Amino acid sequence: MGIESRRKKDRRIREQEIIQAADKVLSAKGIDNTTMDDIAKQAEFTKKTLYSYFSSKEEIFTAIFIDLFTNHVRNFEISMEKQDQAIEKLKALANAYYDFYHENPHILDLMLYFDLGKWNYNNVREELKETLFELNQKAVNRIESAFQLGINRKEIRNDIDVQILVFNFVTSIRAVLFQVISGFWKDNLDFYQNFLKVYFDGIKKKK
Amino acid sequence: MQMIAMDKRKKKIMHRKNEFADAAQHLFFTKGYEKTTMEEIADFAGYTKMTLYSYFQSKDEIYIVVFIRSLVERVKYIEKGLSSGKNGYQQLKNIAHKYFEYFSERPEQLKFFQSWQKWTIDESKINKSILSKYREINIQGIDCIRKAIVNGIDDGSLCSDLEIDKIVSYFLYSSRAILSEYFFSTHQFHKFNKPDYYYDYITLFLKAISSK
Repeated sequence: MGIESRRKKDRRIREQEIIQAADKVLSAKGIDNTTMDDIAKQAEFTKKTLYSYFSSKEEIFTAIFIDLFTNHVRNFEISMEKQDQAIEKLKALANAYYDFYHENPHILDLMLYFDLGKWNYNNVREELKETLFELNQKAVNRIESAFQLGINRKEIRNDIDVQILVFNFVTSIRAVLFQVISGFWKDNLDFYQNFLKVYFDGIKKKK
Repeated sequence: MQMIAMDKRKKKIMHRKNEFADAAQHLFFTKGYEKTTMEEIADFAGYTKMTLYSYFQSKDEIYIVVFIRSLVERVKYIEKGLSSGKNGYQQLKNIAHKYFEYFSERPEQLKFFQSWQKWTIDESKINKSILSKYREINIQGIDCIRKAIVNGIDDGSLCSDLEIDKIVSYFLYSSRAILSEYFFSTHQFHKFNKPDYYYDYITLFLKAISSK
């Protein structure tokens, strides 16, 4: 192994250590209260060393998000492939979303941060932004192809733009899951299942 | 005479409270709730911190007052929607449209609202009468949506087997999230510029619960 690739590998290992430490701090303290100091302490690095890997809190959070979301996309791809019917694929996706948010409730806070435009992308290096963009695109494409399949097979109504369907789906299930994970309907899985029933009734082909 | 003096005094208090609420709202919207201090609110309104504290005991309290003011406005829109439909289905649809109208006139309210999905204020720092006023107005808005659904079940325009509480929640949470995405999405690499993004969702939601 050359010196250059050895360095890269070391760097990648360090970055993973930092991401894991930051993930711990984030779940315990929330976004607003997590500082670079906390992350450095948890990772057992000096702050100076930490900054040589990540230039900001936002950059670390982006890296955390990429890691967890990559896993999530892989999981939902596998469970969607097991189904034949488009609606069944989407149900599998919805269940994967429940698992994802249930296991990583702090991700919901990160998403809210994204939504509210509080995320300062200027503090995130290009390479991470690109990875995030590609990952997001990949997820959207997978979900879109399930909707498109349903439209082609006349399982799903064809009077709504497929991209609108995709984003409405992801946004609405997240809003409902937020209530189940940490809101008024906490731990009421039935609340989510019933929503999915309503939602799927809404997208089915008109008779 | 005494009555008039009392009225004048009350008016003055109301006026001053509103001045503080205006200042607080401006700062909450521009800087965010967490980063705004009582000192800044007083300063922005042109009074001392001591004066501010004689009207509001905490930042939590002034937040709730700002929130109530916007909620009162919002409920008016919702009530208009409820009163303008010939059946429950139409009423719910009109409420959804009014909801859009309300937020498109003042999207910053939605942003503020969404940032409070998590109830993080300390109720012990808020006057009880203000808290009950908040609950009252909140229920008033929710009741409008509930009424539209009950009407729809009664008049046959909506499915008869709906779980009303859940439907009310779905309607509120999901439509709000979609509006928020429509107005603010910056992370999404797609930007939906047409209100269809919201109205298509409402269409499919209504279709799901309608009797037809």
